[in-house]
This record gives sequence, structure tokens and C-alpha cells, in this order.
Amino acid sequence: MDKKKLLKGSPEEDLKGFEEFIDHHSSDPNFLPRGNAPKKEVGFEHFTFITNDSTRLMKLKDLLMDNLPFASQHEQGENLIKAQQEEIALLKKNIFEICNKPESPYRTSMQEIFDSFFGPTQN
Amino acid sequence: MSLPIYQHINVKSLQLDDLKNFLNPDMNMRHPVALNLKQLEFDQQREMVGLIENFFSTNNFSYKFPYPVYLVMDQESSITQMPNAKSVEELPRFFHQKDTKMNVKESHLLGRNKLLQQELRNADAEYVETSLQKYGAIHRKVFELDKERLFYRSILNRLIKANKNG
Repeated sequence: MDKKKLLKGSPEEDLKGFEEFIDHHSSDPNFLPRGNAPKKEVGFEHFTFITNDSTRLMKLKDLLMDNLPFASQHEQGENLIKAQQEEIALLKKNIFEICNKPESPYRTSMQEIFDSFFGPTQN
Repeated sequence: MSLPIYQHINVKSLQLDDLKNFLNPDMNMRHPVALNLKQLEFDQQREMVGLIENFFSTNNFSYKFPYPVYLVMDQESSITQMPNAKSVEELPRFFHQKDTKMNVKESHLLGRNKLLQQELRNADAEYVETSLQKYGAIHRKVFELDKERLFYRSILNRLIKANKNG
């Protein structure tokens, strides 16, 4: 680190003894063509694509080799379906019990409808 | 080693020799394939789809992994389970890349993918397909039942609320 600082900090000292040489060639356009050379292209055009593809393949591998066999062996779906069917049956039973009470809104509405069509005529 | 970009194959006839040229076990191992059936007549396209599907099912190969095999055709998508499109432009953009020279780091990364590709290629296609279908069917049923359960629950809640309010 110290060496680098020394070099950076004293460019004039580095050129000591070369002044005449540099002055002599300063008119030559090809002398020390620094910064003119074309930069070598280092593109990573496909790097992201290949990385994404790698991730895709890895996820596929996890799905096919780990997740799918595990899900097949410990399938929860059937149990869930059974539990849901039981709950649905219970809910239906409760709904029916409420609706089947003589004073329930359902019975009252049905009674009104039937009476309006088949009930005794009012004079 | 080449980039995993679309390999476009124009299918020109239904002849067995032509089929043998492109239907092989490793056709979708290193890159996705787009089988363009548009040069065939409309009815021949359906026949070709059947032959291609038959090739994959009888040999227990998958047209979905490691890389998908797409059919580019005029027929409706409902005639096949295989991924398909009406034109090349409709194919997923992910695999549309310029085929230029790769640098060392990219080649190295691609080399690492080879093992994954091989592993996926060795998977039992029929088992995977069946398991996925079964898993999907069960979970669709769970979803439907849950919708039904929520419907009855909402009715019951409203009835209870109405009873309380008199």
C-alpha cells in the first residue's frame, strides 16, 4: 500500500531523467499512445440467462426428486377432503335445523307463499 | 457446448425417415425444441401431433423436462397435452437469446448445468406426470369443497344473526 502511494504521489520524480527524451518525441503522434487502444470486450450477455436457467433446472430437480415423492408418500389431500366433507355435512344439518323450526323465517315465508296460492280466499 | 436456446425444426412430411431424424431420446436434453408443423396440411398436423405424443409416451420420455418441446401449429391447443403455440413469436421469450460466443465463465456455468440436465433426463416421466395430475386433482377438489364450505358457513352466520335480531 505504501509503495503504491509513493508512486501515485510523485509522478514528476518518476519522469526524472526522461524529460529530454519525452520533449524530443512529443511531436510524434505514435509516441506513447496511451488510452487509445480499443478496450477488449468482456460481456456477460449470457451469464444472467444461464444463471436463470440453472435456477430453473435446480427447482425442477427439487420438485421431481424431492417434493413430488414426499408429497406422494405423505399425501394430505384425502384427509383434508374428508374433514371438509364432514364440516359441510354439519353445516348443512345446522342450517336445516334452523330453517325447520316452526317460527323460522324460512317456514314463515313458505307459509305466506303457499297461503297466497292455496289458502282460503279472503272476503 | 451450446446455449440452451430454441432448436427450430421444420417438419415437412409424415414419413418415418423424417421423424427418425428429429425424434430421439436426447432431443430436449440440452435445449428446448420448437417443432414447426406449419408446412404440413391442417389434417396432417393433427396426425403428426399424435405420432409425436406417441413417441414420448411409449418410450417414457418427457416433453416437459429438462427442456420443453413446443409444437408450432395451426390446430387448436385442446388436441394435445404438449405445450404449443400458433406462431414462433408466441413461444416463451425466456429461451429467445442471441447465439453468440460465450466467455469462459459462461461456459463453465453451462458445464455445471449438464449434471442437472442429466439428472432430470433420468427421471421417470410417467410417474412424474401421474403424480402431478393426481396432486393437482386432489387440490382442485380441496379448493372446490372449501368454496362450498364457506358458502354454507356464510348462510349459517346470516341465519344465526337474523335469529338473534329476532
